[in-house]
Amino acid sequence: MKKKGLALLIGAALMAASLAGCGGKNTDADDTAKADKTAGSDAGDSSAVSTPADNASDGDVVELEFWGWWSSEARKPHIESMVKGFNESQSKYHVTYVDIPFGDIFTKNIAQITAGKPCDIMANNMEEVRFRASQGQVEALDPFLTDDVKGAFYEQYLEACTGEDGSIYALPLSVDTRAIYYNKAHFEEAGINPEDIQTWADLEEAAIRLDQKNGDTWERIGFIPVLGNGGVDTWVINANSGYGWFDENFEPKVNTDVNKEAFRWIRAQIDRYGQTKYDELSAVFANGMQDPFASGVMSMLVQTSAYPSSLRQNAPDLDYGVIPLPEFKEGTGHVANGGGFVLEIPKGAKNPEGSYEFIKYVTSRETQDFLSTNIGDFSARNDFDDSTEFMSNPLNQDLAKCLSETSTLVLPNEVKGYETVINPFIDEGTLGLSKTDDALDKAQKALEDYVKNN
Amino acid sequence: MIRSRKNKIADIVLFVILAIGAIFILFPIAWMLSTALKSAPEVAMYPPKLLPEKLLFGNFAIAWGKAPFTRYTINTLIIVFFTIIGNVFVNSFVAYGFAKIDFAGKKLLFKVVLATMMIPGFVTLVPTYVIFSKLHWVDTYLPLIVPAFCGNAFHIFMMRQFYRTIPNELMEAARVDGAGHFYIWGRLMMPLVKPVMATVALISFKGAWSDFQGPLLYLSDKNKYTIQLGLQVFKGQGYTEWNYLMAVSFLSMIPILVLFFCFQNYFIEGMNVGGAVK
Repeated sequence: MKKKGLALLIGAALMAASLAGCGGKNTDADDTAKADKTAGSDAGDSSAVSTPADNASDGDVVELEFWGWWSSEARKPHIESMVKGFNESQSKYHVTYVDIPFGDIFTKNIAQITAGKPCDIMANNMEEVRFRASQGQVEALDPFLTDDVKGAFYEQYLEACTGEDGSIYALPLSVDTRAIYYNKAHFEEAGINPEDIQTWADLEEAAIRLDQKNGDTWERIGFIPVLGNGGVDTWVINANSGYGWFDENFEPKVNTDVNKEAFRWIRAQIDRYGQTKYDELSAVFANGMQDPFASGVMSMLVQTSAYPSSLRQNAPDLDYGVIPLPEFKEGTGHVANGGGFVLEIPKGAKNPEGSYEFIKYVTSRETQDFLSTNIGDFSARNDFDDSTEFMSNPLNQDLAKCLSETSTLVLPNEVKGYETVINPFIDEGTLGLSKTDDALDKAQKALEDYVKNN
Repeated sequence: MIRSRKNKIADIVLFVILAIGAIFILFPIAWMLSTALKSAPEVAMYPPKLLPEKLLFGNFAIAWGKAPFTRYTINTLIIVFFTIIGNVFVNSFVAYGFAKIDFAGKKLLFKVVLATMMIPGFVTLVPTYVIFSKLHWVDTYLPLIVPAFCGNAFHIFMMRQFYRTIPNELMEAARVDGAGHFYIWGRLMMPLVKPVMATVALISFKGAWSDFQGPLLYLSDKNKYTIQLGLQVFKGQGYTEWNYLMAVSFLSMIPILVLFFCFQNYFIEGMNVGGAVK
């Protein structure tokens, strides 16, 4: 009797959990139920997205799920508006936006592809499109692409979306670059014209003029090149006019004379403030909470083109501007490294044609202008010029100039993960544990071995 | 007199060491609370300050309102409740078998159970997902609850050790009276192993309450999200709302603290399997 009672209790518990988990909806086997997942309803904006009832009567409506990671108030409402715009622009498909935490979204995506039930449209990083294509994780867009769509993007970004088999596997959603953000008040006080900073030597000179030290205490830091979003690779790519640790044939070129000179220069900038100060600031940026530039403690900082959204929150009154990364030597170019995000169709998606229709809509000029104006991201479209609302902002115009000299070097799959091989040696140089020349020599040897073994 | 003075000094030294240890342990929580009470520009301020210039208690209400956290809390409690039920009763029953019933291959089977602890969770992540997907359990709570009813090696081990401290004579007397194993487990043993059951319940609560990866992997419907998934609303692509994130994180920590303080005697007794009932 007691046995039966316990079995009944466990059974009832499972049943209740199952019912609670389903929440009155069907499982993912029933596609129409997915429309219930409208994120807009959570935000209390029921009018923002079409309701399932709108489409329930239309048997031809295909439900599609779009995965991204934009859950903040600054982005999510605009993404939802964009999705709503697509849903209202046609009657064949109904897209639902699902936001999943950045980083973890990729694990979930892989699991779903393996299970054969992926989402329909996925935002992903641009740098690894080629890798995902080689692993069979994404659908080729070739059957749907037309010349006018292909011709609407800058070549370098479309190239990044192209697999080693020549097929296009994604379309660019947004792109970014790196620039130097400077504090206008500090520049004015030090009598520096930002346009005069054209070379690394100019940058160093400006940093020295901006520095302020009281006894042994640094009260203001002019510039440290490898803080914020700048790394040794940022400056090596700049010095090599777009190529970093590899040459144009993707042969390892870590310990070249140019790279050694560049790393020695970086080391000299760190040494001006001392290893302890650099370590302290490096830890501050690593924790992600404090921002010495927003606090007025640093006068210049390398950051991505997405940085203004952070400054709007952290330092709404800060008067700042941007300049491109200076040239290593006159004529080598103001090259910065950048990347971006793409939209792609995970392998096994149930309706690739519908997914593509959504991707085409999002990457259209009109939608890109809407996203840029409201979110602040840059578009990879080549017809995205000054006539757009977004580009009427002077800061965006300056960032766009940096974007025009941005390198989005996509390396072959054979060298994927090379950073884990060379970064420990590069860190030895920035942490002062070994001489920069020695660090690069060791990194060269390690990278050669890595390439050989792959 | 000298001895008493020595004892006093030893007590003071011990107190100072413990106080320093407590400060180290409590500092992250103090920092979390301090961040929760600051404005965004103050959070970003460098050098940072521990005490906010102005205490913004309203941050807690604002943060709680940024997503349906009440619903997320209820969802989490549903998962936690059934996970505890599964872990406490199923593991207790299995542990009883390993501790008190002799059967062929018991030692080998127990070793196999323990060996499952050596398998990293990440290795089984995708295959497990595929199984649940084929069962159409994705986007329900079943993948988060049902495994708790399938046994957990660590809990089984802990409970078995506790059962072994209970004299067999008790069980044998019941057997003479005609009691079956189910009766003995349910009526005789359960009251005696309360401390270890409370320990398993507390560990299960903490595990299910703080679980991020499981809900992330299996839940897509925002209405079913747990509190840990909900916290992600504060993390943007280029910016994190630290003050709000810390406010809700602080609130989400409170149930674990309350439960621990309520059941700390059981918990300590349960963990101390060597010194349990003799």
